Amino acid sequence: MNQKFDDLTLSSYVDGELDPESMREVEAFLESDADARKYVVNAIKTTARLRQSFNKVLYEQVPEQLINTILSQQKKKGRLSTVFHPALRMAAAIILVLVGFGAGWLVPTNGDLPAFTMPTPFPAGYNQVVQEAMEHNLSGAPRQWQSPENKAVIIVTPVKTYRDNSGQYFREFRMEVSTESERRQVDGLAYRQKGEWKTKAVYFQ
Amino acid sequence: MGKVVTRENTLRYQLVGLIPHLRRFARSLTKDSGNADDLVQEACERALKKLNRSGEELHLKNLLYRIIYNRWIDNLRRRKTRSAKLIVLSEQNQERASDHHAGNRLDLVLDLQTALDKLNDEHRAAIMLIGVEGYSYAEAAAVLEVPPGTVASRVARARAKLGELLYKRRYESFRAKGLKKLRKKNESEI
Repeated sequence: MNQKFDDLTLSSYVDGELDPESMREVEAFLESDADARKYVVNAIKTTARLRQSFNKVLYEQVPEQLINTILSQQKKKGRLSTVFHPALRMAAAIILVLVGFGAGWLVPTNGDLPAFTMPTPFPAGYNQVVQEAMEHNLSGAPRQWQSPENKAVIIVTPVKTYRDNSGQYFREFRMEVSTESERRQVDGLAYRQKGEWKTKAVYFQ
Repeated sequence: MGKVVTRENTLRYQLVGLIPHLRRFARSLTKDSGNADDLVQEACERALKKLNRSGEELHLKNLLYRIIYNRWIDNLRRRKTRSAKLIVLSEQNQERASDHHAGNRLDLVLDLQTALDKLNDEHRAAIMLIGVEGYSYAEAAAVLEVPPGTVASRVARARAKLGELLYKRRYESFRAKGLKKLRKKNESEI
């Protein structure tokens, strides 16, 4: 038998998309053609590798925020699609804007608000605790970071979640920072970009 | 007092159950877990709106895959428009780089993820739905909103490309003229 089949037909054979008679014809052909057999074996092998690789995602922990967003809409319908909470506009108006975590932290303000400085050097765990709290904690659930020498404790609690019309996600959060000499509460707003949470704005209580 | 069981509540819990599968599909498109999760969340919100509005009994998983795919393609188009100039420049750079390394190119065997990234988005979505999700061509066609024959063609092209990249094989022998065309299952629908 000299009949050859195109790769489209062999691919359809691999996927079980041919009728029974055609399947038999292809199988007979495969017995006599090494190239076709190689094609089929490689196609099956590739499919198995794809499944093995992507099935890992099925066993990953689903971010709580994702579940929370889907379920929480039933309580407060439409909240996530609101453009921007009025309180956040106000917050944005009165506060300093930080570009990215760690960019200067809470620098002294214009005089109306008390200056506050973090212990030096900048706490390495700060970014980590905020990232984790924003990504995994339900609104209202705190996450804590403590410096190795117990010189500083940071507690981050997401408060609300929003999304604007462009699809950007925002979370309001409250952060308590305690050092050996003082304790301060700060409210802030973070947004999610490329899988990372960045501080948009913070303001003092 | 227990929660009131409404159609919407039921749908929400069904959505939560589907999240791992949705993340898997979205991850294959975006190649990035953060963007994939954003895409999944957006798809769930859109699906809920659509289902609440229509009141129809739709196939939830297919609907979500369709939304994820369409949103992703829309995002890509927007991004391409914004960065067209940049893409042209980077392609020129790539050409120079590939000329430079032409001698080594044939020996290159790529890992699966890199090879998959080199597929175009339509081919990648097709091979994912068929190979990983286990969809039939007809089911994938409903998700991608193309005829089943187009799905078959995209899957075959994806396999040919992956074969070249992963196993250094080319399949010209199957593309010769005068090949026999076999009847596909459900061909009348195609």
